[in-house]
Amino acid sequence: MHIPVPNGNFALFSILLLGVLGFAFAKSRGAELKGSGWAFLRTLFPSWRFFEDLNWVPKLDALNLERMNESWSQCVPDEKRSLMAVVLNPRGNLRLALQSALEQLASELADLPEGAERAFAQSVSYGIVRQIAQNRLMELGRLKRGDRYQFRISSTQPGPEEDSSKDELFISAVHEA
Amino acid sequence: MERLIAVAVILQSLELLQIRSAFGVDGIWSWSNLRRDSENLPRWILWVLDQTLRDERFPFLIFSRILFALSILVLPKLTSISFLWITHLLVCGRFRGTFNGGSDYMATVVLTGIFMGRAFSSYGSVWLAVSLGYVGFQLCLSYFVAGVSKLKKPNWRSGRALREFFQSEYYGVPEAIRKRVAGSHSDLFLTALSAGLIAFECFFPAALLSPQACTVFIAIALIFHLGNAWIFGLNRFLWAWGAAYPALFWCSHFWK
Repeated sequence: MHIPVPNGNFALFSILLLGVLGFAFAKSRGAELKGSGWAFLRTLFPSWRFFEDLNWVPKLDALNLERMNESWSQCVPDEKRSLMAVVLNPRGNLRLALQSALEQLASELADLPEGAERAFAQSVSYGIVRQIAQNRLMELGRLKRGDRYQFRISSTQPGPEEDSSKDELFISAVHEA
Repeated sequence: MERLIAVAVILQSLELLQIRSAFGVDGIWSWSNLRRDSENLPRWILWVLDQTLRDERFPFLIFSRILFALSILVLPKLTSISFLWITHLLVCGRFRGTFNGGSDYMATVVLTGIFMGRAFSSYGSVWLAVSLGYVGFQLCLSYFVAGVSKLKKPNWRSGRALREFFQSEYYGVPEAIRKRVAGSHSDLFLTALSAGLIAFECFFPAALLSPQACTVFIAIALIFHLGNAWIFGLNRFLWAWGAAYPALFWCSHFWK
């Protein structure tokens, strides 16, 4: 199939039009745009503002309340990578997705209005993070069905002292596995 | 471009299948929890989502994406491309927007461009040009916006932000690299590296000036993404952005 060589004014006009649309859309992302149509358009014109800052790193720990002599367990552990990870990196990408889920919950927590704690604990984001904590404790053999547990979210500054400089943001209610 | 995005889809799908317990019945992204995000949608849409995204069906959806992507490697056809495009949106929706952020956004852009080009080409081959232009433009924007954002921030200009990224546990940077950038002896290196990165990203639209310039920028970009894949584990970016480069190369012929 013949593809026209882009030496015409129409092609340039199309690119400029898409650019204006994309720019306008990126600028409007600060405004409240509701509706699935807008969400779809946002997908077609992403903001591309990634990796600007690593202002803070969320950490998730969990604790089996039936075993009070144990310490809090880290729920998003480090993953060692091989060179093969350049091609396939499932555990590494899972870890990044878990971090994103934590950030999402922490962001919702920061925007939580007064008196909305109950709705927060029933949110989809909370359910995801709760499942991360529960599954991790079970993987470590530190939780079985029927045990009660809690999870907590802390924030740390990025850098070599990430683990030693945590600020506790939130401790969950008690849940049963 | 179609074959390159098919490779990206195959690799992404293989990764998802290896971690499928994460979206199983007792998984982190179980459908019973995620479904609540969609409960206000029309019932027929919710029915479609239930049929395709629920825990028992989702792995089959991912597996079928691999099969259609393999068929694109042999012979790209509109039906296969349409399937990949629609199921890509479903997969992103399953993970509440994206599974992996930027790489999913770029895959969306590439698949949308390819789909538009193929679907509307019967109305005139200029639609192929618009589709390629859309992908090429978004690719340039992805680097340029990132570069300008970094340029505005003092911690990026000084190299401090780069040090934080290298030393943070967030991306699982190899221990050897974290130790190498720990001391003050690496300050000059990090400042220079940061400046080079900002310059590369801000000047990336210059790739549109000529095919020769485009080739140079793509070569640098590939090294950049390979480095990110190895150091930060961001392998998906390599394949998603790589799939968009043919569109950029086509756009670079504007001024000929």
